[in-house]
Amino acid sequence: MKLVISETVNDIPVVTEKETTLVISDFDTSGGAVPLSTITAKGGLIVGTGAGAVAQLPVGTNGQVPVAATGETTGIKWQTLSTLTKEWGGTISNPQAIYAQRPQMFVAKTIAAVTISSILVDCNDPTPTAEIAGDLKFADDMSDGVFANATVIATCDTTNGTKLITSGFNDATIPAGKYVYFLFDSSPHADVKDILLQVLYTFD
Amino acid sequence: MSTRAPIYDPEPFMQGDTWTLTVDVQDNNGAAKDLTGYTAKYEVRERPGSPSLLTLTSTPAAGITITAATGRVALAITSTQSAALNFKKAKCHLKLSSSATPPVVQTLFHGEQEIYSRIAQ
Repeated sequence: MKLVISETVNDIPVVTEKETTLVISDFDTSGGAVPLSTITAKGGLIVGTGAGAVAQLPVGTNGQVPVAATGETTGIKWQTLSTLTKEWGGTISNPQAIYAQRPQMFVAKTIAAVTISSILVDCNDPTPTAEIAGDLKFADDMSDGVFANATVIATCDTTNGTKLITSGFNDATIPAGKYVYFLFDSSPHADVKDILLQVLYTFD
Repeated sequence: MSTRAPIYDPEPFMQGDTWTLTVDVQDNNGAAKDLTGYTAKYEVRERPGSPSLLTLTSTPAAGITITAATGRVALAITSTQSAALNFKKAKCHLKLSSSATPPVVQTLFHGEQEIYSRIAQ
């Protein structure tokens, strides 16, 4: 390692300037490295607490995952996976044609027990006459004419083309392995061209 | 890591002059060493332990600027500052300190700083 030293005295024509190269023994230039002592226990994570600043995020409990959390000093916190809200949903286009095939529309199959926290049904036409009527349900199967042990999660009849349900479910808890589907009570109004169906849930 | 540091005597200058000293820390191939996390301090004392005659630091910013990516440590004294220097020759020492706990301290050089007493005020 070496030092290249240059000096100036006054920045006028009589300036005295010189440059010198000195040999110096190697030294550690990793002064900005994160010291190993930041981690004090198994599973801890090094996280940024600000520009050029780090801290340890101690390990959470089994099954937890790190999630962004602006209110935390570390900007991240551990959270149990089951408490994270997840979503099923999508857009149903030309629902009359779908209804003509069969009135049930498949939404999802549960891989584990879940609890529904919100259902939103939103039609493209908000006029009072352009409504749909139906239920979100779950059953043991999706076979035509069977739908064993069908259970109503919530009635989803729209008003002015929309329905938001966040409480008062008929049965919000769905066991694992069930088929979740939307059952039209009748053919959707002809003015309804698209329906947004959004179901929020958490794992139990 | 060695703490051996070379002796270097900065260029003498006159009270009231501006003075700059730039140190580029490089590897043996001339590539800049990254000084991220380092702070620098330059002190002049008549002898070890005596009162400081001149202190420059990078943090807080007082006469030293570190450009970490280029390995550059730049010292600067203004005309006003140098006019107030009231010694002829004293010991000087430039060191770097890392941000680790405890910090890694590295002397870049030590030597003698000489100031010419000005005649014209």
